[in-house]
Amino acid sequence: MLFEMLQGEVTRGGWNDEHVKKSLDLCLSCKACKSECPANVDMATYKAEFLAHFYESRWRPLRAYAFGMVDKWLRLASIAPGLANFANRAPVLSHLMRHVLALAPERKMPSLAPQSFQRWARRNGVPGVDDPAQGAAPSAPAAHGEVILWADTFNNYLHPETSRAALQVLQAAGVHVRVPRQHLCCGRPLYDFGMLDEAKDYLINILETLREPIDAGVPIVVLEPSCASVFRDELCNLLPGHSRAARLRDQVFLLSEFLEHHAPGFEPPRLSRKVLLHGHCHHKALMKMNDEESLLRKMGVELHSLDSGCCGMAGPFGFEKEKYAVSQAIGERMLLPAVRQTLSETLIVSDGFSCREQILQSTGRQALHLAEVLRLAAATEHSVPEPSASPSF
Amino acid sequence: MPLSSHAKPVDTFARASELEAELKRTVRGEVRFDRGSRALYATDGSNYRQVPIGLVIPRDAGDVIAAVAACKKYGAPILPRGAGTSLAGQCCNIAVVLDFTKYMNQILEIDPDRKFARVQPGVVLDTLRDRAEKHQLTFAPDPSTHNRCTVGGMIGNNSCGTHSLLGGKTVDNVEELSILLSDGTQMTVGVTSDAELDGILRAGGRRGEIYSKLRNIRDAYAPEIRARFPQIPRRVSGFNLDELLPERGFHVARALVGTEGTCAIVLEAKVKLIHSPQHRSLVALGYRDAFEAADHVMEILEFQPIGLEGFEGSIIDALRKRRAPNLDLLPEGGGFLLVEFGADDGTEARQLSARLIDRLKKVPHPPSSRTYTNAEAGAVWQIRESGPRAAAFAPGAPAEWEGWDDAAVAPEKLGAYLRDIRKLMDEYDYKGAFYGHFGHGCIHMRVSFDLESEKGIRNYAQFVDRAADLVVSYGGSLSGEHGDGQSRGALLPKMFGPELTKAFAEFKAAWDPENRLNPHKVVDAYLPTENLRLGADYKPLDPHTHFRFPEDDGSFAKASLRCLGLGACRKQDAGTMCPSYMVTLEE
Repeated sequence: MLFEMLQGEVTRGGWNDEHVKKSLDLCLSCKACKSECPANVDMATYKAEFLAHFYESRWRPLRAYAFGMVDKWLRLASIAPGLANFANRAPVLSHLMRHVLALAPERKMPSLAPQSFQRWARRNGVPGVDDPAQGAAPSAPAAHGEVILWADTFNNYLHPETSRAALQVLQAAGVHVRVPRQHLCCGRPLYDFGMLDEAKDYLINILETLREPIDAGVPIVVLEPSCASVFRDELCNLLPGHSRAARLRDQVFLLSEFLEHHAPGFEPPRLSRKVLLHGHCHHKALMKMNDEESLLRKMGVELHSLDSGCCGMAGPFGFEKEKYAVSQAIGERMLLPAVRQTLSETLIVSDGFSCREQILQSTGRQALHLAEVLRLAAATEHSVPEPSASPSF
Repeated sequence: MPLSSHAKPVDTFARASELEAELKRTVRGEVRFDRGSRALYATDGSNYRQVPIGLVIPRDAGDVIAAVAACKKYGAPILPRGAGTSLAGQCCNIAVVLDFTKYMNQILEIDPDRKFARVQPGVVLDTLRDRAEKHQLTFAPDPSTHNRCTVGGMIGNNSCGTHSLLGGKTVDNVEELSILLSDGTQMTVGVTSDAELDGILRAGGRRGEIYSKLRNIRDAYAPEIRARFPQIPRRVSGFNLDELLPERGFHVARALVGTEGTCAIVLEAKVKLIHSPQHRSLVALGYRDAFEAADHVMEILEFQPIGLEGFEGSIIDALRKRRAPNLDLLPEGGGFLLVEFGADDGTEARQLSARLIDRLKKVPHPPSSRTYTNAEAGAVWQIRESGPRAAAFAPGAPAEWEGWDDAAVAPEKLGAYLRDIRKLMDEYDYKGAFYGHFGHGCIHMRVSFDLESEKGIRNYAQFVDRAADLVVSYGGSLSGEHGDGQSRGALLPKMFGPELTKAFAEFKAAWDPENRLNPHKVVDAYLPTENLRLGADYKPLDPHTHFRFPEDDGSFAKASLRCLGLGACRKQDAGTMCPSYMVTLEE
């Protein structure tokens, strides 16, 4: 279709062609084609590019701004999470919001945690990025074993317990962890709506704010696969030849990648449980699941890795009214039935926020991030009662 | 210079809107004449592009009959289509395209005792094989596109694949076809005894008329057929007129296999299932180069493998640059053979490969070798199946295309033929790695043709012309499994001579006198340089973009060329791609 779009002989609308737009509507931007297509056709990127141009002469649907800038809304809402959650659940308000944003009525809106991870970190003495290193001069190079734990929008405002777990795991491995105090967002949701100018701004902001640690080679651990994928994929496609961007790309790691390859002080804690692992689409497409699987195996779990494809949520996709049926059909193909059949003692591990939402909303099962499994294992090993990983809702 | 696809006007069928209205009235399935649908179906896995008149997605045979009737009323050409992965331009035409894959994709019956299956044409091969495997049966032909190609498409092209060594070509595995002709005639065809033939002729009617013509063709051309059809394992070029010979049982269904949608539309097929060896064992052999590997094919065939594939080391080098996984599984070498054994006993399967390794140790200059576990074998097959096309996209290297992708010779002549074709390629400075079914002498390659300049296109035409002469001098076949389509249709007279070329035309005319089924393929074929998707007038928009596409030389247009019609995005078996296709069957 894109070939034809650029030919302009059959489909003549160029960037404004409604046929091309329609053909891209059901693309979930899962990035699977980028690695599974023998020619590495990268539809997610082409879709984002197309939408950027398509919307140059039109208003985007309202929900593009709602989802695209979810980082800003959650930041605002985190001033008064209780109020925000109430508004979310109040029948009239939530109904109105769903109607205005054309959201599927079947979807529940996730709730904000009482306290964001960043606020908790600040109150509990975790240094920010600009704070001086313990006892060292501010301009000294990164202390050995220093890491920035990326506070991504979802694991910051909605599931801070995941970030706390990761912090604990990293600290136990002898890593000195810093958590940015500034509001930083990778901008992942923007790509789904082709908001590429904004996306570039978000990335440039990150490159500026974290200029010193990036230049000093500090690794950045990112818990959410769809955020890590921005740094590994879109970043250098938007800013090729930008040397700090290339450094950032090379210094971003998923938790499993970091622990497997860059944490010499880390001993995988043992856990004799069964684990059902569902990989996030971006994780499977770009980073591959090898490190995640090898780490879990080293922990001694009985691992079953599902060839489950996509969970169907794909960020905003599964929330959109007209996409809900397809979203569910995708999830029901493999993942959701498998989850329902899993024994309750089996841990369901899924690092992606979207995937965990889909699993929770469609099966009621609570899936865990790898960080939470690691903390659980460490706690069990030391016979310390684990802090209850209570969900926010 | 023949016209490229861009030089041809997009709306040439005058009564398109009337036809559309008629179809919408009579077809219960989907009728799409919008420009988006037409754009989507304008190409396949080949170098060609032809914008269809419109698209029909039939729900059942009734829909197909209604669609064909409407097309007859308005004199519109028709093109039945499966997954659209054909490599020689079979699946694109200025016609009403009938896409069987969305609804007419069911397995109707599997009879494990009498070993056959009845299927609708749109069924994906792997869907059939997975079901058959439950009875330890399989459908022998298995192209590398097996997780998305359809049985209907395979019947059209006479597809083969790795396991033709085990069970032959598609033609050898078809028993009966229920067909619909362009004039609306329906019939079931298969093997025909003399008595049955008499009865059909006496009954008269359209069926009698066709069978009478077929018999006349058989009688008139039998000596020529016996003389000029090469007796090699992969004679797929042309029409299977040899199936009409008495010694083949006047098998009308098999004569229609390989007619590439130009003679009949398949509504239902009865196909043979064979026993599936339950245990496989895979060995890789590494030789100095692909020529040496080819020289040893006959030696390996003595061990009766069920699969004997090969590929050049340059494919692995290209994959290595792209950091493809599992390449270290291969032994040392510049040319490889993959030898697969099958047995119903795991020990026996392993013994078969051990015996091969043992004997090879004793020859002078033995190849390097490696035997695989089942898990490793899966990864190695992945390299063989996806590797060659993935390797065709090495960054910085010129793009490589189909066009001389499928020639076949007798296996004992393979080494000599490969040396000669490589010499010919070198003359034109063409790059292209060999890979494919070494065991049956059918070799694939993607070649760095220049399809974007007049000079380049002329060179391509000249090369293909000389390559065809070369293959004919070896007593080979221009197509070994991909079919002739538009890539090789016009070259068939070199291989078959004027008499048989006439015979093919008569055969086609018997079934489709109005020439409305996939016209200008195989018979009266477009030249290989016509309808090119690229062509000398290929001038895409190359707009400014946000993403800089560093791996596509900064060009969005170049990025859009990555899509070659491989169709892997239509798979439904494993992996993630493409989640929405898997649930909607909409590309």
